[in-house]
Amino acid sequence: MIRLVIAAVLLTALALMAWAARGRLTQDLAALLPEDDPHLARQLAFFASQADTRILAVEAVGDDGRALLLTLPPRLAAYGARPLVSDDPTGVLRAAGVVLTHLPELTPAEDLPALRQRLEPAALVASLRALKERVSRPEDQATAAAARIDPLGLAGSALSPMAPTGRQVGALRLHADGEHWLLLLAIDFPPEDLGSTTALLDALADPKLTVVGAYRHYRENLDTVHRDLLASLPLCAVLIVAVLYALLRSWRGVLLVYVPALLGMIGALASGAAWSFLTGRSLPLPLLGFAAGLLGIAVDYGTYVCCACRSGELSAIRNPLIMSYLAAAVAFSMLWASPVPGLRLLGVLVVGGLGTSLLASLLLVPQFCRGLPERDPWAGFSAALLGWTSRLPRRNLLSATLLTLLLAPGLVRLAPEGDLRRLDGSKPGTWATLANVLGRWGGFDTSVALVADAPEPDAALRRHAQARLALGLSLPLVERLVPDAAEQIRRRAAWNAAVVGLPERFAAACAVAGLRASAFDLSAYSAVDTAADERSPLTLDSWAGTPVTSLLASQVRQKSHVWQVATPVNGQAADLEARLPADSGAWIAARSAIGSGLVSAVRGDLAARIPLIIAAIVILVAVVERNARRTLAILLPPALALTWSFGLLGWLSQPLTPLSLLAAAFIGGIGINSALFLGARHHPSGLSPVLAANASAIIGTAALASAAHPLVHGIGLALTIGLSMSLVACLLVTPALLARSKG
Amino acid sequence: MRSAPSLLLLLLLASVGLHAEDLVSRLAAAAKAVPTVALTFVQVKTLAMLDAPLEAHGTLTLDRPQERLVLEFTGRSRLVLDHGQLSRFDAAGQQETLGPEAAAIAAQLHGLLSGDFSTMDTLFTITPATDGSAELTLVPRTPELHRFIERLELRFRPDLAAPAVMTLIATGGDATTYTFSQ
Repeated sequence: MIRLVIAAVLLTALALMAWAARGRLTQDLAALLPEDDPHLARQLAFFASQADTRILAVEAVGDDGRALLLTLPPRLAAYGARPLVSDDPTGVLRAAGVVLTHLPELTPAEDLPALRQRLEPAALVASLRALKERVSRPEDQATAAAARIDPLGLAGSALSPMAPTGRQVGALRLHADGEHWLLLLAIDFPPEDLGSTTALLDALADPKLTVVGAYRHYRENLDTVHRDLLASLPLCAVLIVAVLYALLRSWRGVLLVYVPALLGMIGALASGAAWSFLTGRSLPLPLLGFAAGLLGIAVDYGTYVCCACRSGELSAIRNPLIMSYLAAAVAFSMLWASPVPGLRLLGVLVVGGLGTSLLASLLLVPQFCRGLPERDPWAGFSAALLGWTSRLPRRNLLSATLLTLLLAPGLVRLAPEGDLRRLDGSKPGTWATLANVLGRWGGFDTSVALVADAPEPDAALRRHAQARLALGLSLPLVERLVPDAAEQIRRRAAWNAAVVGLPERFAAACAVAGLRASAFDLSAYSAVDTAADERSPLTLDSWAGTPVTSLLASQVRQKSHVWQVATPVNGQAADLEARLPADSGAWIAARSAIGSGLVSAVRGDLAARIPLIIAAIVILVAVVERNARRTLAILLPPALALTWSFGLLGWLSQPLTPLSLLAAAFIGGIGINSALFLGARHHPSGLSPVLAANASAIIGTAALASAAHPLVHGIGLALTIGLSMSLVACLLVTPALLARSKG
Repeated sequence: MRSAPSLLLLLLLASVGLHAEDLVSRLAAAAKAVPTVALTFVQVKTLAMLDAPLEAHGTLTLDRPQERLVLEFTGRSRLVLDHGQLSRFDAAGQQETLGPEAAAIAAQLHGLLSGDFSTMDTLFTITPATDGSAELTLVPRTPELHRFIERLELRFRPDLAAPAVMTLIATGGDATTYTFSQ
């Protein structure tokens, strides 16, 4: 009774602490990152801000598609979506005004050959004849008015890079093929607002519409996870319950098995809250999920305690329970000194969570085990299996050696997943659709970008331009439309040289084409002062109120008093980084750097700590067991299981992901537990819970392995292989070594 | 088809003269009373860059119940406003793309179709004639649009159900005049 009261008080305190952790939860992965890796943090911040662009593209084909797209803006306003480019012509006309005012600054060196050609007498005549033909059409209402101040249409030429493969028609963009229409929507909420995202995408559900953007990927990832869980969980739950019921023959017993794990999760959250209060750091939700997975090990505790209680052997498993916890606590407490905050927190969560599970297993579960059926229904099978595994120890050890020789070479084939998009759960067709749409509209691979930061926008633009030139990349939209101040002076000088004698040539061409030269205002084509202080510069503010602002939003932005210019580039990130001058002040952002960076940051730290962790666990088990063979019987199975399973994953060309670490810890933990408990109760009733614990875990992870979501599938496959290997290793090695020990 | 009482009412209104502030609302009311209209027109373009004015002919069809307007230049092209969507077709019936002026044209044609010129209010300041005649003058609200269009003048026929003369005066003096007749 006293134990129950103590347990209740402790649990209440832990639950309150866990409740208090709510306010400190965050989705931000940056909270996991090492403080001394600004490179990785910079990459993460960059791509997070790119995702903030909040744009959704909707494409349709033909007249029907165009008509359908035009019905969307009023309908989608209620869903937080509005056209990125308004059909109000004022913005476009304002942009045309900016261009006519700043034609010299908007004519880069790349365009000068074409401009000089257009200003040749023969070309002028051809251009003016075409103009005369067009204004003579009765249906043409706008050309004459526009031509009066821009007879050669240079404003349109300067704006054409905004839509390289088409033209803006009201709120829509028409592709050069004359068939495809595109509506760009600015969205009021982020993609992770899944309720709003789902409602918006449902409103766009029409077979005539192709939707492209992060919103679709978020929705499909969620749908894929839901589908996976719905498809696998019911059967999985039934099978696990069936396995446990077959062992315990009691529904109460089945429920009790899960008590240590459930309370362990409360304990972990409480520990995380304490850590958060002490360090002032937020609790990243992904890591809590990660820790929750690890605490699944505590289901073993419940299984072993229930089985031991019913056969009156609770005292026999106290030491293995404490030993199992100490092994995990020693291993994970080594992470407390890690410079990676995510690893530190993981250490705290697992030590605190498993500690709570241990207390629940020792103090709480036994209180409710009275009256469980005493007979072990699996005793016959377990006896036969144990007999078989103990009969020929050399055969077992030889089998283990052969498996090691076969699978271990696969370890060298393991490589981290470099492209996070391969872990995405979108439908296979979605990426193909994205590539198709981006390919058609002159889109680019946004996974690599050239980035320049500076306190002032002009300095950021200049750094970006210099770095781009050093890399030999083509002129991006931002440099075309907002050149830095020095470049503007260069362009003015080049413009002045190109327009020398233009008024006379133009007048002569008008006479040939049959137009009155006096009707035109050529002030936009005249030479200008080159000095910066004699002429108003072209800046981002010049484009205010025009569609250009929206188009440049993802390429020029101010964050925390720093201006950032970023343009997508084609090429290998490593190659670009190698060619980028060290003093350029620019850098390469690459999605691949995030995946490999996260894995390498964690791997680098773990590589230094794993020898210490292994040494600590070996010392702990050796001190407690005081027998080399028994120590080996406990530690060899998990070591072999990890070698075999990751070797096999290497042979299967499965990439390492951040979740691979979860798999490794889980396999190691279950492996040690199996060996410990089989070693403590080396008889059939000791093997039955080992079989049940492994079988239920394998069923659960096999369900994940059948998932369509690549990340879930990957961790499921790794765990299914690993837990199966763990059981095989335990059955081959532990009885063999223990039999020899006894012999 | 117009009904006799409504025609009588319109003629009565026309005969007593129109108050300037009432014109916009009366145009909308008149349009409702006359569901279909078919007119011919003569277009005269006077452009400073050309030595002589250009003349073209065509038809204007308003089908208000179907929310459809067709402005056809004989033998050349058709502008179709169908349920608010503007399209242009060449002489062969092939659809052509429209430029940034499409929204202004669509608003202008929508005004003719529905008699509701309030949709043009975002782009133009709409001023009825002060002498009580059935005329509207539309002046661009923004300097950007004013850079190209100086004003649009609309004179309506007595029953207000359709335009009589429409003149687009561009900045620089160019003028395009449509004169409509039954």
